[in-house]
Amino acid sequence: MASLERSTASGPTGDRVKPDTAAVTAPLSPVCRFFLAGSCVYGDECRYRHESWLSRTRPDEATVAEPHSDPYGVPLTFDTFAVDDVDASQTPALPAPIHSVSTSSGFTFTPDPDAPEFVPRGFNASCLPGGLTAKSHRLVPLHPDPVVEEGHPPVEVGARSWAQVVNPEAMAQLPMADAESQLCPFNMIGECHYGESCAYIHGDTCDYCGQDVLHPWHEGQRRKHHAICMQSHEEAMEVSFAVARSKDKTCGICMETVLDKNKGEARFGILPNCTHCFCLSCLRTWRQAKQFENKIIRACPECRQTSDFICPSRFWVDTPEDKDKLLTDYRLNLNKKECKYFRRGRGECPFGNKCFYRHVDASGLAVDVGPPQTRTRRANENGDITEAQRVLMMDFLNLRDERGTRFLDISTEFGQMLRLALEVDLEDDDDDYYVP
Amino acid sequence: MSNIAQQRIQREFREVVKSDEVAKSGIELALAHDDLTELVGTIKGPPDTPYEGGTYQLEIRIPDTYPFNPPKVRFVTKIWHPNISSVTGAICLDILKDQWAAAMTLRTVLLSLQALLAAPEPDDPQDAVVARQFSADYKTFFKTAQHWASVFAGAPHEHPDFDRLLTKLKDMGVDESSARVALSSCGWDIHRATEQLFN
Repeated sequence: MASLERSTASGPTGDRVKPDTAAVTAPLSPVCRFFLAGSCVYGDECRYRHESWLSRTRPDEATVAEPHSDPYGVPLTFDTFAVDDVDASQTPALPAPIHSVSTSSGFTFTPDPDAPEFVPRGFNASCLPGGLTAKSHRLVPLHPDPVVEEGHPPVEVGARSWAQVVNPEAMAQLPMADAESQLCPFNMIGECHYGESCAYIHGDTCDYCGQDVLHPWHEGQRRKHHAICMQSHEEAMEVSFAVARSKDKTCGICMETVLDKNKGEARFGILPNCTHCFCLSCLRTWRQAKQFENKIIRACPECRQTSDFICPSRFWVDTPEDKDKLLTDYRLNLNKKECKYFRRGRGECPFGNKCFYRHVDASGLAVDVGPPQTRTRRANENGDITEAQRVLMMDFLNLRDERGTRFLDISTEFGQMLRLALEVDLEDDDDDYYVP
Repeated sequence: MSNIAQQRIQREFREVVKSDEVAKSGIELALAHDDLTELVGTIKGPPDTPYEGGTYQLEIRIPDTYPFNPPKVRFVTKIWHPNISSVTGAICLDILKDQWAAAMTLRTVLLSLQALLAAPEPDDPQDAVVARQFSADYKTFFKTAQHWASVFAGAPHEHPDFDRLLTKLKDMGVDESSARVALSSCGWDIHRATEQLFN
């Protein structure tokens, strides 16, 4: 069960990794190559993970398939479960216990009933020894995905009793997914050809969305749908408010109404440090201007307040709270993308750890590259401003050494003198450090 | 001319022509050609300055990259001012050079120029002679600027002593504008002016 916890723990990092690398990066450490070849001498002491390819592809299944020969050597405990008190009698519609689970490779495993740790989701109280029938500890795995495979569907609609159908009390206990699957999908989006004779339930009409999606008896489903409808309604309201407050805004540079511009250009460029309104394309052109100093182009064209970056936005933001949210979301989104300069450690990012994009190494781990390099600008002989190249001390020393030896070779006489002088210097140095 | 420049000039032109506030502050804008690349600006000399009562014409050229680059502006009307060349009318004003901002408009440029007339900056001169006179002998500068304003910009100032000196030089066969330039730059000292003219 340890893998359940591990995969949950590594969730946030796993989400940001591309699917092809997910198998490598989601767990905490790389898989031991020697273990895969069957010859790791360190055994359980090995610092790399001992895990088969099988379990790497579908960790949740593999864990269920090998419940007491834990591949990580971590003893199974109840700590990996959330334990809550549930009256067993109140869960009549729980699916039947799963006694065997098949893996993706088609290999089926039947768990040992004596193993106390193995408690699959959707278990039945009768599964536990000791006859805990009336009131029992129900163990809910932390992992949200059901472990059930297609070949072994849980007992659901078909197993309902007539009493459950006619008794809304009992219906209320039906799991949400089951209640939703009872509704006719054709009737939901329009008209069902079967009409009254349809095997599925034709739901009540929702006042908000106007679709027949409300389960006639399942209170939970109705409430959930209402909540979703309300949420989308609120979102739609928010968008219309945003449009209303953005629609008269004109760009301070091109002086056109931003939302009236061509589709690709109808975006606002938000400056974090002032409240002046520009369209994104104009603001970008301004900030890329070469004919002015950095200080000028990084400042707001209206008020000259410097802003380090600009944030694209479909709508205008009025309040500081909205603006904060927009800027935070923007930075979070950028942080999901990989830095084009850093290129997984192969390149060098001029923005250092101030970069908004993600810096990860080849294995997908985040890297702190330190503060950005200070860029030195200097005027060349023509008076043009150029960016000074980075000078490494090593390069300088190598160059000096090269020159030094050549110099000594060319003029031997002077070279000898120089060497003498150097030796004298060295001796002097020695004297300096001499302690009587 | 790029699309954005053309549209912006059209908008700005309408803004300046319509606005009452702009008319009150004494700035005007007119098209020199139909293609919007060249305009003629007019500003009134601000009160309590030697330029009061004068009307100054400006030549405004709109670059293709406007508004990301400043318009090129110069005085057509001759003016005696430390930051404006008395010969070419070229203007030394930071916002027309490296301090330009894309949100500035022709209206703000004209208003800035009006402000420049009211507050000369002799430490950053365009015309060194005028700037030197401004710092060393403000009274002479003031009177000279008034004289130039009355001759070129139609300001109602009279300096009969200057006119007398000019007539003297004209009688010596010097044309009027050279005589005025020579006298102005020599602080209306006729001996130095003649020396300068005939050497």
